[in-house]
Amino acid sequence: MTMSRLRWVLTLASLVCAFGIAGTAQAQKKVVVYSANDSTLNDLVFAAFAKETGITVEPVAAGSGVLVRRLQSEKARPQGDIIWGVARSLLETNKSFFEAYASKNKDATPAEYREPGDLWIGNNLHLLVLLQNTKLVPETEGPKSWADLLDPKWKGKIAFTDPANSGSAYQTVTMLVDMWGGGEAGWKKVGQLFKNMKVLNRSSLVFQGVGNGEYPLGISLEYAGPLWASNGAPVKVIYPADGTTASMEGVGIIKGGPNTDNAKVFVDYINRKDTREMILKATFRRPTRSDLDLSKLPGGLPPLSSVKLVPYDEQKWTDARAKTMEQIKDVLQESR
Amino acid sequence: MSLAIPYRQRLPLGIAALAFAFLGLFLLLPLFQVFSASFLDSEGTALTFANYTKMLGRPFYRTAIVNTLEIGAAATIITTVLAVPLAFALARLPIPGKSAILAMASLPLILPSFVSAYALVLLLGRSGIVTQWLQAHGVAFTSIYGAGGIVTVYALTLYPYVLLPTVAAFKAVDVSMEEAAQNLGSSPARTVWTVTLPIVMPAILAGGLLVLIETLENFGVPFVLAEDMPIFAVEAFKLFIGETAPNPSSAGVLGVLLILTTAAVLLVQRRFLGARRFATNARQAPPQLKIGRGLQALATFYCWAVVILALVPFFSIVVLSFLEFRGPVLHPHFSLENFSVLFGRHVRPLLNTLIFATAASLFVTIIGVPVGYVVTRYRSGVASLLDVVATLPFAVAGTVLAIGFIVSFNSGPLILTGGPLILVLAYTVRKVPFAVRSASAIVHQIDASLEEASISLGRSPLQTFLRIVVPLMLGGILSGLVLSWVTVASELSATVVLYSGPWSTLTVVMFQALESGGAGIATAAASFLIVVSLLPIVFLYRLVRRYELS
Amino acid sequence: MSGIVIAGVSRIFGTVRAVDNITLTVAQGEFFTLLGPSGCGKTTLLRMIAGFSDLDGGEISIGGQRIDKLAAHRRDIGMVFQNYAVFPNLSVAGNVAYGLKARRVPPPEIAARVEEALSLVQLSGFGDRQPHQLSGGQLQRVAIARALVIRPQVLLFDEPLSNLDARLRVSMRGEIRALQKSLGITAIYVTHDQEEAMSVSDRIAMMNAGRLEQVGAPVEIYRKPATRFAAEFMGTTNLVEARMLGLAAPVSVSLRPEALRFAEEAPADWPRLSCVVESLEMLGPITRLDARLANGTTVRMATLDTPSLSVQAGQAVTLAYDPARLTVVA
Repeated sequence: MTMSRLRWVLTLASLVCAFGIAGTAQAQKKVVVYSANDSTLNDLVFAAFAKETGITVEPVAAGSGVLVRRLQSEKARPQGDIIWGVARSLLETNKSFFEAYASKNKDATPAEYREPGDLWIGNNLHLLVLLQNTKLVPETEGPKSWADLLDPKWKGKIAFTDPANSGSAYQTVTMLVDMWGGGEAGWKKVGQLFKNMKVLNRSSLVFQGVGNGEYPLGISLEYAGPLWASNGAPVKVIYPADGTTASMEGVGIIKGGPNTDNAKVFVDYINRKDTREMILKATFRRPTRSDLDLSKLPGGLPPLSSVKLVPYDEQKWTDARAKTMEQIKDVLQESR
Repeated sequence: MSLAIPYRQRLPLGIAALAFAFLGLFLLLPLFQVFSASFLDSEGTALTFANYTKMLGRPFYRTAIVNTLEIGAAATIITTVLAVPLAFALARLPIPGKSAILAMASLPLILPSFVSAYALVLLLGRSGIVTQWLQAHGVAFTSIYGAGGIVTVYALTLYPYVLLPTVAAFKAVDVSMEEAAQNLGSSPARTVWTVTLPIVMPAILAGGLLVLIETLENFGVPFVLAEDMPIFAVEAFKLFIGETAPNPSSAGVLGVLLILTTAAVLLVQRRFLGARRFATNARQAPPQLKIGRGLQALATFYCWAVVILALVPFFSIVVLSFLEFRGPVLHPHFSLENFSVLFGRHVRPLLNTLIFATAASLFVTIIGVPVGYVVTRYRSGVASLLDVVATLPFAVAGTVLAIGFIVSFNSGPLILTGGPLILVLAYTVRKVPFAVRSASAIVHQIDASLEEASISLGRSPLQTFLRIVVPLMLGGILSGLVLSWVTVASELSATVVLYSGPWSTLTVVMFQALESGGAGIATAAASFLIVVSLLPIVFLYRLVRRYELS
Repeated sequence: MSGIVIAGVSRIFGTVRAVDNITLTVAQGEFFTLLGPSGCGKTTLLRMIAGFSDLDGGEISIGGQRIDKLAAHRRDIGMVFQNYAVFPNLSVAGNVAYGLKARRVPPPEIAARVEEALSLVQLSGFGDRQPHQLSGGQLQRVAIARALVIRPQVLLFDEPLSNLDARLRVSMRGEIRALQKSLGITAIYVTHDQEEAMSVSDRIAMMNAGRLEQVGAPVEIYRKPATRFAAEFMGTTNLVEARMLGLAAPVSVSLRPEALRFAEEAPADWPRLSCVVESLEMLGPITRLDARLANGTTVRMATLDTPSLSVQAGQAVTLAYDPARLTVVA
């Protein structure tokens, strides 16, 4: 008797799953977006875009490493239309997968944030900054510069992301090597800095860690500061006095994707001035466009002109990546 | 028409052939696609082992391997020591609330490990609620980070792997063996130690093996709790899909090493079990042991303590899901906002999770149970090979298998990308070892003469398998089914690489939410998953109980 | 009609010849026993007949039909196992009906035949019981009923009584024998217990190290063992060089203890042996006695209890033996 009941259950279960898998057909206008942005940003933009254009976004949201691996693996038969929210160096190294498209907002975006052949276009900039938990470190006692971080009193108190898993962390390390004299001298000081750091596996662990009080300091991206602060966490952004650089994120259209026309609409939409304002208000992403008045928008992002920037040779460090990554692992190993 | 294969071997060989075909297509082919890079030089033309010598020559990766093995060994031993007495108590002692304990014991596996880790940091991190409370009361506890924390989390989340098959095994012990031992003058305690325990050893070992391999493969827990202590699976993950330095050949090296380690552990286990015969001929479930009041209280306390301790991350997630999150920041006020957002936006992933978990766990059972039977009953080379191949998926990181799936099934004769089937297949392959191992543990305890009796009465080997072996294995099959359902529902690493369009799952929602600081939605999704997972678990246990009582 | 012919059958495990070129014929309706110590190959040979072990050479036929290539479940052979192998998930009736259902016998007939089979093994009314409610002896009856009910051409028994206690063993073997005779079914029975073998069998095949030592009726093997092994395995015997008994031939002979008597009670033409009593064992109906001959050889003698005689250890006695019961062994 129990056997027959079991058989009944199994039959029912298989019916349910057959039913679920069958219901896949659909015929709406859509675009498949591979997005490395977080879900707050995704949900906001995809909903607004669909409302305005009638094009549904099918998101594939994952880390940029995963998305790029997918892009490369699907070369023979691309599944996505757009890759969005990935760093400049990744866009640059994978541009052979992209289709050129001159966005309607091309001219409002400075040339330094565009691929000359229009294979990709930059959307927003992340300044590399320090985050300080003001509950653990009183507001005035925090570091003011990268050099301040070398003080042994910060040992074990600075959260950082493993450069192997984060383009911006890689940029931070290499920027500091250059800033601190380049070559051996630069690496030596970076080694000193590593002795003070907790090198975590994912960038979200850094700002979660600082926001929740796990770590007093963190090396992170600009937007995380106002995101946590505006929601009531004791987090302060420090723009290092000895200068920093910006890491750019952008968008590209995947060559041979299933909905290329809709993809173009998306690329136009994402860099429009009103879209950028909407995004900044909700998620504090600094736009590549220079025509937004930051002082009138929330988050208190200072204009780029007021932040001390240092030059950064992205091309050089992208080319030297494999070797540099090994060097970073060695420095990390020695600093333990 | 006469086949050269003797009739007796047709069933096992047939099952093996089907299993090899399935695993060859959906496991070995994808793995080959991913790992072949590790055997090629930088131009990708010549065969070389240089990648291996280079990786193993670097102290960083050697440290990672040593750390991983140490943590794995410690976690396996502690988990086993924790779970075996629990299993014995649940099978043989009068413990109040047994079915509740058993149902709750499967729960730790439901929570994806990155969610548990998040909850544990909130509780036991440097600024964790519990940490601060302990420090305020003068306890020198610093935080859960580091090897100790990782081992603790593994022990408390992975103990069901040992518990579930071992409970089934304890119940299947032939009571006459124990009676014989006591008749020979052995005290009850000594009988358990010298007679009962050796009989259930295959189940304990099978469970322990799962724990060990899971600790080698898992990266969700060390990803958060190891901080900057290098761990094998984490480094492999970064080398495969790290943002800056994806390095397929180096990543392949780590992946291949992980697989070789697993295969070695498995073969050692097989050798050990192969040298013994454990079959008993249980006629009835062994009776409850009579123990004194004090002992009973102690046992009851132990059972409940382990189960509840393991559920601490659960309770905290459920509590958190009813608190207010502004963006990523937690504010301690009651709120239903998290759930309204979840049900407003993410109903589809929720349904997908239920459907995928059900479909995949059924496939897993249909494939895994016959394989588990064959690898246990037959001791030929083919069976050993099948055993290793069918257990390999457990040693393969989900990410790696998923990348292999995309490379293999995005073009060519079999196109699966873009649909739901690719997810179900990936889950099936990943979880087949659960069914194989739990089935195998039970088959060890079924006397082969039952099958011979059935055959001599005129049932073919296949009919015998379906009518005699499967019903006798039912307890083990169901516990394997529960394990695979629960772990499919919490699968992330393959899903995130393979899902597309509307086929997102609840774990993807949780992951994205935690990443973007929307922890509220993540906790609400996790709470919901806990509740829905409880339903099939309770249902299945009731079914098993009724079966056992009839 | 359903006699069994085993022709030149072998089974090799690695370097061990578990069954070594065995040829045997079992007649229709015969109760045939394979007897030998554990590891002698008797169980392997039985399993080859049942189809659970492959042949590395030779042929097996039943009723003129070759069966060794036939799948085990098509051989129409009933088998009773040492550990009963009663399906724990089926009731007693379910167990007995199992083979009939496999043969697609109509349900009403199944019910009738199950009841009939259960009454044959004296388990009428036990159909609804679960196996765990039965004793070992009852379980073995279920197993026998289950094997009989399909009316197989041949019934195989693999040490069916060795898990039962001594008293039950004796009564069960009588039942098995009676049942087999009343049904007229051909049976092959494996055991290592010579007494059991003698009590049930029409003929016995003695096996040792994969080979046949001797085939014959129990009495024949007992009285005329062909080999030392057969003589020793089958009961107690005195294996001595013929010259120790004062004979000229350079051979070994077997002399059963009961073929010896005290000289006073023996016919005059029996040869005499003078010896000294070494030890004495009074077993009720029988007295056993070890005596040393002049040349140091010890012989064992068994005699019915004889109150008129009083013998003690250390006493010199004269024994006599029946020359007709002297068997030359290989």
